[in-house]
Amino acid sequence: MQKVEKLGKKATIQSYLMIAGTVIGLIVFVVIPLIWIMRWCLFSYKGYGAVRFVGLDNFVRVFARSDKFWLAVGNTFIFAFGKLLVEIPLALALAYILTRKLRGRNFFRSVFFMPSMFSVAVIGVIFTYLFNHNQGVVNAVIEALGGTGVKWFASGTTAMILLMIASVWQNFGINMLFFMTGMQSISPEIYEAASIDGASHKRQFVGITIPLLGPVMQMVLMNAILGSLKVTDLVLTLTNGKPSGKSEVMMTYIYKRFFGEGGGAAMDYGYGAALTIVTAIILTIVTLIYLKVTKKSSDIY
Amino acid sequence: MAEITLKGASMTYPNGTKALTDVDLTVRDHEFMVLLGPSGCGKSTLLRLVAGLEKPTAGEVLFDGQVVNELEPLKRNVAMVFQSFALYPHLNVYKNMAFPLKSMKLKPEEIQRRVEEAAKILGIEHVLNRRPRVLSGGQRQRVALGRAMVREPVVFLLDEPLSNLDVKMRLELRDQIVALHKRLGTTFLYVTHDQAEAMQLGDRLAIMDTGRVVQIGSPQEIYDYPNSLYVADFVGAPKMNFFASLLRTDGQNWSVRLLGREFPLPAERIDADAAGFSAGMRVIVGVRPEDFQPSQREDAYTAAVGQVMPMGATLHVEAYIGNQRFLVVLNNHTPICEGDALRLEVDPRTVHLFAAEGGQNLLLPPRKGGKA
Amino acid sequence: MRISLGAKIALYAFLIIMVFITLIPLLYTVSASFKTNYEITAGGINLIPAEPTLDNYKTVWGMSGTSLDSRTTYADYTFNSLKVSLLTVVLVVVFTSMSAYCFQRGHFPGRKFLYWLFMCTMFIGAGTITIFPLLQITTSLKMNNQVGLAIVQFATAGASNLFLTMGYMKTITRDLDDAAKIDGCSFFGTWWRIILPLSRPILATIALMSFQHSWNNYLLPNLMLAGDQSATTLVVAVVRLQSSGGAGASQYNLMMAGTMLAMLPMLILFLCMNKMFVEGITQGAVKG
Repeated sequence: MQKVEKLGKKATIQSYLMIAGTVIGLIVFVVIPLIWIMRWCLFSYKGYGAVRFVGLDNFVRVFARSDKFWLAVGNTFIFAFGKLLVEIPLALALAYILTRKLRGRNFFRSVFFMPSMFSVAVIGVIFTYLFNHNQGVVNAVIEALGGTGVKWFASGTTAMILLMIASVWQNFGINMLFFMTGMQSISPEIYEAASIDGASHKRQFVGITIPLLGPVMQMVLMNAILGSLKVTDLVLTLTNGKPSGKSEVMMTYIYKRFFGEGGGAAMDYGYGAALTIVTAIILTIVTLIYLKVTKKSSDIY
Repeated sequence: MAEITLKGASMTYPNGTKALTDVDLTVRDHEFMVLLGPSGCGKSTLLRLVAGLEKPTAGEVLFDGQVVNELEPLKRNVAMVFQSFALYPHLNVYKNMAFPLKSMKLKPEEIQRRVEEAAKILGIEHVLNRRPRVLSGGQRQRVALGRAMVREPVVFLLDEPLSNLDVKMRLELRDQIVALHKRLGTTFLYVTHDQAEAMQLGDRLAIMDTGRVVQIGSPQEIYDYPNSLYVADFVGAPKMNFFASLLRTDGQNWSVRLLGREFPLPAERIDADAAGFSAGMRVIVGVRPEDFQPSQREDAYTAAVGQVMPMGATLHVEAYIGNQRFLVVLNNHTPICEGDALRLEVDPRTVHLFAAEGGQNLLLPPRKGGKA
Repeated sequence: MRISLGAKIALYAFLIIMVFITLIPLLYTVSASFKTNYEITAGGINLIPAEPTLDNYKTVWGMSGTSLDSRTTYADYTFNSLKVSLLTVVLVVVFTSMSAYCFQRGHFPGRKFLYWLFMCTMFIGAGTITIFPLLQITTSLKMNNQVGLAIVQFATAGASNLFLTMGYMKTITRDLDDAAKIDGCSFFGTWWRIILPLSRPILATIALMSFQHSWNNYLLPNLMLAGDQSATTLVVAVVRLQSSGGAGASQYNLMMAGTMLAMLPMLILFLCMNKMFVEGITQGAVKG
């Protein structure tokens, strides 16, 4: 092609103009922040005073002297796996039930799906009320049943459980929807064949639905795991790390290193950047392990 | 009105697929040219080059002698009709037909005049306010033809426009396209894989094979003298019968063994040197089913009749001589049924001879006015 | 498949229990928003307020968010949320549609690289994890205002909008592009006159989900609009009721009335466009 291209040249220019908005937005608000993080992780700067090059010191600090961060990492994983252990089976069971021909099916689907409409932050506010020690409805119910009210925000364990309850409550419906879509794409003939062969409901569910749901399951679990590991707003508005950082998660911990904690911990750009990178690496490792494991299990089928 | 020429046009897609190789083709002004070939032979790509939807990777596209390689479709003033109709689903029929005219910045009164006139010619005035979705296939393709007509293009490009229609509608629209061509007198370039359609419509046909144009000529010329085994196999329905054989010579005249017997080749159509004849050369003899004639002669072939398929005006008869199966087309009044013996002869002037290797036609073209 | 009567009863019992679990937090929120502060402080499990009152709503609606700024009320915050969300929707729809069209139909140098860049960086970078540098950038660009917020929300919206739109455009036959080109449309003109109108269904879905996302967003508006309290959004203001030093300090009756204000538009959207939400969300996750 030695000749200057004219036919198609106009289209090329138009393509660049049309895509410019998205690309500029991507570079300015996504790519540059990533580069910023990578640059600052090698420096120390407290928001005032001198900028010092410290090499990998920030990472040394993350790995050697950041008990609270690793506590937050631990909490994040406990939160994610704890809640998914309830949420996913619940969503699966409901999806399996609601893909049958059942009276009121659409009503149930809509109700279960409704909580995911609302702002996570607002849900956090609502649950602070419901689980309030003195005025909350939950303790009132427990007391009405003869128990003693729980101080939900007073211990790390109960605070974590509270976070999980709120998150499961908000998200089981949306996962149920995903599973329903997956199940609806399984041909009914397979079930008919299985019924004729005398397979029970339980065997059909384990032997047909679960394996054939494979790809959908893989996607949904992936999103659910990553979403749970990135939990932020719920923690900020529900427990905010109470008591004393025992319900802090990765994202809120980093957030507070950058923005300060109401006059608490000082901001530190370099340390925050190093934490961000370590977190990103943790997320990537989880993703890679997940992909590897699910690939192996999907090879079996 | 335009004469369209491709000079050494080649098209290689970025993924390495060679769609066209060194194509030379001239479509004369006012001509109805049909590109005929199986799917994937590059005929649609050729059409897209002419339309300006693609640019040849080598060679030139010329309109009336002007190179238009870099010219946009609108400036070439071509119109195209697609197999999928490609009507804009969100616009009604009137707006579909007016669409190209708006791009040409015509006055509203002129747009209205042209659309209404085209709609009248095509018999779709009553559906102008409807959306394409609610129309029948035939109506949709008429709208597509109308959208092409209104812009008064220099050439009509039609890409298998009838393939998505049912048989009745296809025949009806075929006639309408012929009438349209007569009326408009514009150059038509028409792509199809249906050889009956090609035969009926085309002033000339260009037969394509894997990115090359392998033969150009009028339907009759191509039918009478397919220049290769490929064309012979592709053109004609039912298909030509082929018999593998060897060339023989007595030093002066050439012959082949056909169906177990010596068969003379027409001397006036042989240029033995040019065709590279040699005794014992492997050849393929082609005889069209309709060139077998019932015969009372002494030396006629005797064939066993297999299945008899009545086709209306004709009978398709499966015939056997020894193990050799072939097809014969007979007049439907012939009293015949399975198991009969059928006596047949073949006029030597109607046979075709191809090289077993390379497939080229080894005979000279018949003289004009040719077939006896 | 036949289900025995016993099993059927068990199934329905399970479903109804789940409905209760789902609805009770919401019902108590509604209930608290009509209770007096006295009744809430007293505790108890009564769902129907003893003395139902609209005062909480009246107070919150006309109340100012902080002691620093006494003129801006929750009515203004609601309007702010609406403005930001609508602007976000417009940006997302226009730019997603254009870039999906370019990625799906275009043939320009760098297309694959840009697509790859988009997918990779969105996976790692978009969201809370880079919020601090993001804020540094918006600060230095003087974008910490409602328009800036909408722009950032659009730019970090993620890959699923693009996936969805590209998937939809794939179902539009390319013959239409060719026909439009022959009928005199440029690359841009084909988008504007053919592809854009034809992809309206998917764009409506994306618009709805972007609206929801923007309306519900907390962290980003909280940070970006921190400098101008009068510009902040409803969700941010409602969360602030938890700890505000002003009139509503930890008064659950007012907090719940506030959360109702923040949730009501979503509830209405959900009731009106249930089907669209369901389709949008499932397509986005399963096909993306």
